[in-house]
Amino acid sequence: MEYFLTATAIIWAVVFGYVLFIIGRQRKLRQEIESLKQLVAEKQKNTR
Amino acid sequence: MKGKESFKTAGLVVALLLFMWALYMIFIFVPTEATMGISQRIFYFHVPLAWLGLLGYTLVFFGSIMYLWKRRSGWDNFSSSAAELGFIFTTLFLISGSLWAKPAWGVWWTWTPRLTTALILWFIYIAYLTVRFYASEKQQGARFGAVVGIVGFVDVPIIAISTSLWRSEHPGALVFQGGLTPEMTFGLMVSIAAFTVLFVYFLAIRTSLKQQEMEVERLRELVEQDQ
Amino acid sequence: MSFLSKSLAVARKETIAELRTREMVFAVLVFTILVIVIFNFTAGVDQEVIRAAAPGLLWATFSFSGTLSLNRTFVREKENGCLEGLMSCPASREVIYVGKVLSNLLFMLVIEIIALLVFTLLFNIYVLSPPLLVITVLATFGFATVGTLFSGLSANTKAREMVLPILFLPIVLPVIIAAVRGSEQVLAGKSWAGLSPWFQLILAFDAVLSVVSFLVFPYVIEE
Repeated sequence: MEYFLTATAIIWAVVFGYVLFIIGRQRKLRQEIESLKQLVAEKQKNTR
Repeated sequence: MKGKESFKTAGLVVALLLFMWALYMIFIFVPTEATMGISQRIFYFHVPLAWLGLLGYTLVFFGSIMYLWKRRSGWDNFSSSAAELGFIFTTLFLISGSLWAKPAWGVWWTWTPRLTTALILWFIYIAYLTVRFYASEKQQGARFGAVVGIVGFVDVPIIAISTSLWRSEHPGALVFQGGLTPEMTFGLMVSIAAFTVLFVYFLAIRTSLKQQEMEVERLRELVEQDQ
Repeated sequence: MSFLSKSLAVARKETIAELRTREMVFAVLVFTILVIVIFNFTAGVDQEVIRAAAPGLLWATFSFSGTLSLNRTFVREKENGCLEGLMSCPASREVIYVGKVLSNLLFMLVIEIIALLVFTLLFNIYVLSPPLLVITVLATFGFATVGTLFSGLSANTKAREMVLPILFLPIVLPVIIAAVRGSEQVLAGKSWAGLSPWFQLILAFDAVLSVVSFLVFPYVIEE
């Protein structure tokens, strides 16, 4: 019985962990894009 | 962008619903198997994970060929995402197999053809990921990865049919021998569907994530260059 | 010049270079014999146990020494920058591949024949029977085709030769397993019926692996 629960727990943990991993990467990506936007805006200011 | 977002959300919803249904199936609906008891329920995880481990490398193979042919980074991102997920699913497949083997046979592992070939698949995934990790630059990683993706796939058919090829105590082609009740078969189908949708969903998200990361990096280089 | 003669020319060049320096032959040979000696100790004194373990030990030895032999081809050329020179000559990539496979095959077979002799002496088991020799040649062929491909690949990575076993051993593992099982059958004196499925498996894998490796090799050494 414990084996079944252990297996379920491990599988769920990994799936959940992967979801968190994806969310984390997406957040990082959004930050990157934001900082890039700022960089571009600054450059446009400087070239005027 | 709007269409993509709603598609993603829809995919997630479908995956979650299927998963809840599968869990209900696995925990409540299916009858307990006579000889092995409750631990047999791991079967409903184990089989989908195995199938997806094999599917994963098949996708790596397909993506590798497409990459070497078309040389578009999208295919490479597809292959590496498929490898990442396939590796995770194969690892879970091995772990779940061990957790089933211990109560069912009394050992964590035996060197039967089925398990041995499964381990080989696991190592082939490692070979693919290793090559990408140790490549001296991105393009080389993609190219070399594709090579491993293609040559490694030669072993996959044998891994897939190893149960029917060699008779052993592995509960192999139970599904086809009619050793399952209709409820069990149905439960298994639901579980396979749930895991497959989850896999495909993860694959799509991961691939697009890699694509976007690549694009953002390229843009950053462009912007920084002008300074 | 035909394809075959060009490949043979490459193979000849490799072999002559090897004979001239003798650097690898000696090292691999000594290593192989040492491995056999070590296995002799691990197998213990019981003749029964040794008989049972012999095929596995034999092929473990071949796998280790084979991996060592494979590393020489591309590493040496990478160090001396010969690969670019070789590619600029009118020979195509495929010719280079076949030539190297042939020379690797020859090298490994020579080491293996000597290893089999040493094995017979130290283990008191007659391993030089024709069926076993056939299995050895066939399995080594599979080893050589995939191994040459991946030694070319690994020589170009950051970790160099260390990556080679990780890459190609899983892929040739079915061949090795079939060789061990087949050797078991031979040493146990079984008839052809017991041997043939393993034999067919090695042949099938050799066929597919060699063709696939051949087709994929150009992608490994392109610029």
